[in-house]
Formats: sequence, structure tokens, C-alpha cells
Amino acid sequence: MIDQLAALYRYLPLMLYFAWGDTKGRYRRSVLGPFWLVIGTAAGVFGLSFIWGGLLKVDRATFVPTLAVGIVVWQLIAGCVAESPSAFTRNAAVMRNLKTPYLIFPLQLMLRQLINFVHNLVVVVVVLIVFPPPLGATQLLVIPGMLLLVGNLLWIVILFGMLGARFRDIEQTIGVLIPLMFFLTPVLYRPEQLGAMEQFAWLNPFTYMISLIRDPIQGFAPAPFVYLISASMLLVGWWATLWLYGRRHDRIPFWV
Amino acid sequence: MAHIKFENVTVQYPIYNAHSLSLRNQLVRISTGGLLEKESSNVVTITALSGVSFELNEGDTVGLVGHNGAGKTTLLRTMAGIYPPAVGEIQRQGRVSTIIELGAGLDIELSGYENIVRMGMLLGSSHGEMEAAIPGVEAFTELGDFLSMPVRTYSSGMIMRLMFAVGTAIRPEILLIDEMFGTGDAAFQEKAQSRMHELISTAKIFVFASHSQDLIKKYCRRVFSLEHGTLTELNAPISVAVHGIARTGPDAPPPATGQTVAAVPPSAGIKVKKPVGNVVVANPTYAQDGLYTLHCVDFMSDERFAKAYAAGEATGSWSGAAVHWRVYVACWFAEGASSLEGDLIECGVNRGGISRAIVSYLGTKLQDKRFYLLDTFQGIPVTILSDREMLHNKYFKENYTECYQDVLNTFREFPQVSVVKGLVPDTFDKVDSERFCFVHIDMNNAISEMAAAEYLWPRLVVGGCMLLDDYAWVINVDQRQAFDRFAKQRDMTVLALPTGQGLLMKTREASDTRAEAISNS
Repeated sequence: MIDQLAALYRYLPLMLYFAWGDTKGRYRRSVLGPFWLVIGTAAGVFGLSFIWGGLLKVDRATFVPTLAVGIVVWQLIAGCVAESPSAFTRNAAVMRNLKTPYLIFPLQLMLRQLINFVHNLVVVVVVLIVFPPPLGATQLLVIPGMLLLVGNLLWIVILFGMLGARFRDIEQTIGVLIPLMFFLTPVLYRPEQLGAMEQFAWLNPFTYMISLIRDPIQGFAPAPFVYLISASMLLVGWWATLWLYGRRHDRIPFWV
Repeated sequence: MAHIKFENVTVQYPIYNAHSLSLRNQLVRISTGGLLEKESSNVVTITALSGVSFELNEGDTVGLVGHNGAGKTTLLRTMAGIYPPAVGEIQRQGRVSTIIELGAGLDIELSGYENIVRMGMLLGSSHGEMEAAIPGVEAFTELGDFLSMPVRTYSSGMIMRLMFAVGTAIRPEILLIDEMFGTGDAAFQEKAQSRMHELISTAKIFVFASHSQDLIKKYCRRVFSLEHGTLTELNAPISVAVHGIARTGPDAPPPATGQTVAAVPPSAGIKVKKPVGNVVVANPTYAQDGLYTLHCVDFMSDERFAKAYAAGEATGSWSGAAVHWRVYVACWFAEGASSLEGDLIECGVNRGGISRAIVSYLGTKLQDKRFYLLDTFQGIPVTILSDREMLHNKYFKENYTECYQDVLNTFREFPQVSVVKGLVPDTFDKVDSERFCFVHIDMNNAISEMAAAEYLWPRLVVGGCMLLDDYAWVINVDQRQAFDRFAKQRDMTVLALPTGQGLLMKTREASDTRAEAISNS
């Protein structure tokens, strides 16, 4: 699989072209195009900070950035996870009729989600201008955080892409679980705000993924165990994915 | 260098009914300790291809025929590398382009132009290459302004044009097309044809599944027939070699005819007992000339036969293929008949391989005889071929070329041999003899062979034989039916030999005169 991944380098322009084409295609004939995405996120952040800010009576200066970064990162995570089981099945027609490396499909999904993510960053930037965090070297931790996040999402997309092609219930299951996870994951709030329940939040892998990005942006470094667990997830996840892919990738064209 | 080689390839795929695709059943299976395995793992494994072997080289054009569900599409997908084989080995070299399912690889929301780039990139071209290919595709498809419209507004004929144009624009070395190629109007068919000829002339591999005999005849030199996942080559070219063993000669018209490649026992090519002192063929095996046997093959090491075979082979009739079993049968009968009264005659000579072998094998036994060789020496006029025979016409055209002068040279030193050029039965006027002891018929078409049989049978002496080279080959339906009728009218049956030959022995004169009366009336 490693050499297959390496061979994919050649297909990078193709995947980017397709991911961008998909994004464009979705907003075809609309005036604003992909910026509808940004508007959607902005509206979400604005509305939620208005309501939750009022309900929870918290300091908007920390609450709104928490929520904005949380939502944007969550959209990336949820987008990848929710679509991962159909990564291969959605491309069944192509896979059955043209000789293409299988892995371009999950990677294309990942790239599309990253394109959306980059668009959404506009909202984060605006929020951070309005409510500036204390700037410092801590913000640089976003870079390893982002690498860990994307690295983890990548194996999830490939692994669940395979599982979703073989077991058709997985897509439905994940579809049901994602909205629930939105509330169980500290997206709108911070894990500390849970009080005694905080330890349960750390059983949720998504909590780590969000902390990796959000904490450095807001000016404090995530705890070492966040990195430790994320790196372990990365290793174990890729190991399992490579193992399954190595054993079963031959079957993918028959599953889709 | 385009090349595809399949070696004993079996493709199996699981069919998951809704039942087994669900995770619930897998969980139930685990939780019940596999007790429910039989019910819950409802996976049906379909063997779509079984033991398929063939080799395609540059310039090969293959028509794929078979019923719906025979495995044509699976074979195309396996050739393209989309489906992996469960067993066997596949070698493939060259850039592949596939047009299998109408619309696959196209995004119907995007315009024709965007889809040209998109599909081209999926087939392995770069963005820049596809941009450059657009004018060519524009001109080929003649879709004009439609190319700016979303593909969902296209008719299926228009989608076919677009897919075909893109699929061929990327300069594929291996082009695989499924049957829907037949879509499209006459104008498109014409353009497609010239594009195909262009591709074929640049020495690429083209495989094409179709139910249309016309299209297959038009484009394809080789025909593969699939039945229940088993592949049979209908008219093998000269040098098809599976494991290097199943070589068959061009001399017998459709050499590998009906030779189900999978039927050769797997060990056939490997465990070869080499007969001591063999001088007949370079790589003798027990699986050659359409045969697989464990029986004694002493004739292979008989020096007289080896010389005869070498003489026949030197004529170039067999193009290096191993046809020793057939030649052996022909020599044996010719020798047996040579003690009888009458002369020998061969209708359908080509370059004279078998007749040269017989001349050599009989040696002095031929001294007081005449041996007539009748052929056009330039192939079969298409006008006498039936529709079924026309299917193999391309093959004949390539293997039977002008060779009159060569044949004259071959037999120059044998005064007993008369080479008669022309179409049977007209040329019987030039045959002086009225009695024959050995008749060899190999003309690859029913009309000529029947005319020859009707003329020669009454002139065959009792004890003489008529050897039919094409009789038992699976595709020679017309010839077989004609000879079965011919035999029935004379209260006989044709002996079908495992070599693909058919044999009629004349045992009595009486029935013959009756038959002659019938045929004359």
C-alpha cells in the first residue's frame, strides 16, 4: 500500500481537479459559488453565539472564538467521517469501468473537505479579528495539530470507505451518530466546562482533534497527553488501515 | 509495446444480497459463535471467468462473442486491470482505455468540455494533454455547441460519441470496448470505423464485445467466444501459443478451432516426457495439434515420418505450428491407399504442406501413381462462402495468399505430382484420372467441398478413403452438416477424429452406384 500511496503523487493534479470540480459543481449556477459555504458557517457561528452566549451567559470574547473554531474544525471532521463510508461506493461507476488507483477516491474526499475548510477559515479569521486572542509562539502549535488531524482523518476515510463499501449499514449508522456526536464533542464548549464529566469527553477521539487546533489558536498549548493520544491514534489507525487494505483491497471493485 | 497475456485466469466475485451486506448479520454471526453462519453469510460466489488463457500482441483485434452473462464484460474489466484474478496470472503492458458502461467517468452536471478533461484524466492523461486534445474531440464528435452544455442533456448516442472520442483521443495502446459501441447513427459508425482502422494500423490491441457479427467481421481478426466463463478462440491466428503447447497450424483452416484452452489439463504444458530421438517438432509435448494424450506416440520418433514432416514444414504451410498428428493421419491413410488401384488427389492445397509430407512419406510407393493438387492458390473467393464461413474470412485472407509459383517449385522434382490451379469443381476437367485411392479435402468451405465429394466419391476405389481436414473443428458447422448429409445419403457416418479430421472409407461399390444415380438425377 505504501508504494500505492507513493504512486498517487502522480494523481495529485487529478484529485485536486476533481475535488475542486465537485465543489464548483455543487454551487453551479449560484452567484456566490463556494462562498455559500462561508456564509452558511458564518450564519451558524453568529446564530449559535447569539443564542448560546445569551443562554450560558458567558464571556463572548472567549466563547465566540471557541465556538467559531470548534464549528469549523467539526465541519471538517464530520464532513470526512460522514462521507467516508460512501467514498468508494459513490464512485462505483468509475471504479468498475476505468482503471484508476482506488485510493484516489478517499483522498479526493479528503481534499474536497479541506477545500471547504479553507473557505470556512474566513469566518475564523473574521472572528479572531473581532475577538483577538493573545498572540504568541503557541499559535505555531496549530501546524503539528493540523498534521495530526489530517493524518488521522485520512486513515479514517480510507478505512471507513472500505468498511462502508462492504457493510452498507455503516453509512446509515454514522449518519445517525454524527448529529449526536456534535453535542457529545466539545464543539460549542470547552471540555473543562463539563466539570466532573470532563473525563468522559476525553474518551471521545474527536475531543482530541478539536483541541489540537482550537487550543493553540486561543493561545494555550494542549496538554502533552493530547498529543500522545493523537499520535497513538495515528499509528494504530494507520496500522489497521494498512493491514485491512493490504488484505482486502482486491475486493473493493466487487464490493462497490 | 502493447501486450496482454492471461494464464489460466479465474475471476470470481462475491454477490452480496442485502442480507449479507448488512453488519447486523456479521454481528449475529460473531455473537452466535458462527452457528448461524450458513444462513447469515449469504454470499454467493460467482465464477465469471474460469481458466482463461490467451495472449494478445500488437495489432491484434479481437471480437468477443457470447450470450448475455457469459462473462464478456468481466473479461474486459479483467483485461483492463479493474477486476483482479482469483487464480492465474495476468501480464499487461500498454496504456489502457476502456469504454465499458455508457456514461461511466462522466459527471452529467458538468459540460461536455469539462468532461473531456475529466474522463481523459481518469484514463491517465494530464490536464494539459486533455486541453490539447479538445479540438480533436470537437471535430470527431461533431457535437458543436452541445459541448458547452451539461452532459445530462445528451442523448445516449451523443454520450457514446463523446466517450468514444475521448477514449481514443488519449492514444490508447489497448482499447477495450463493450457492446454498446453499436449505438450511434450511421455517420458516427463511419467515423468510428476510420478511427478504428487508424488505431489498428498503429499496431495497438483492440478488444470489442458485440452481438453484431457485422461489426466483428468489420473490425476483428480474432474471435473469442465466451460461454459460462470459459473462453474459446474461434479462429486462432498462426502463432497463438498457450504455454507454448497448444500451437496449432494454419494449415487446417481454423487451427485452434474449438480448442477450449481451459480444457488442456493444467499439467499438460509442464510435465513433458520427451520422446527419445524425436525429430518431428522442436518442442514435442503430449498436448499439441489440438490433442492431449497419454498414449504411445512412436510415430513422433519415426525417422521416415520426421523427414516427411520436415519436408512439409519447409513449404511454409504451417508457419511453424505443430500439426504432426494430422499429418501423421494423412500420411498413414495415403500410404495404405497407395497399394490400391487409382491415383491420389488433394483439393485445397495452400502451400502444399500435407501433400509434400505425403510425397516424402510414400517415396517410391508413389512411383506409378499420379497425385493431383487442386487449389486456387490465392485463397477462397468470398462469393462462395456462407454467412457463417464469412466470419472467418479475414483469417483466410491473411493465411491464404498467392502461392502458385512456390507450389510449382516445391513439386518440380516430382513428375507424379500435377498442380492444377483454379476453382473446384471446374478444375476436375483438367484431372485426367478417373479412379482414385486417396482423396484429401481441405477447402474451408462447404460448397466446394461438397462439389468435390460428389465428384470424387463415385470415382473412389473400394478400400480407398476420403480424409476431410476440417470436419470435426467446432466452428466448421456448414462443412460438418454437409458431410453428415452426404454420408447419410450413402448409409454411412463420418468418423470424427480427435485431430479435427473426418474420415470416410469406401467399403462397397453397390451403394455407391445408387448414390451416384441419386446425385445425377
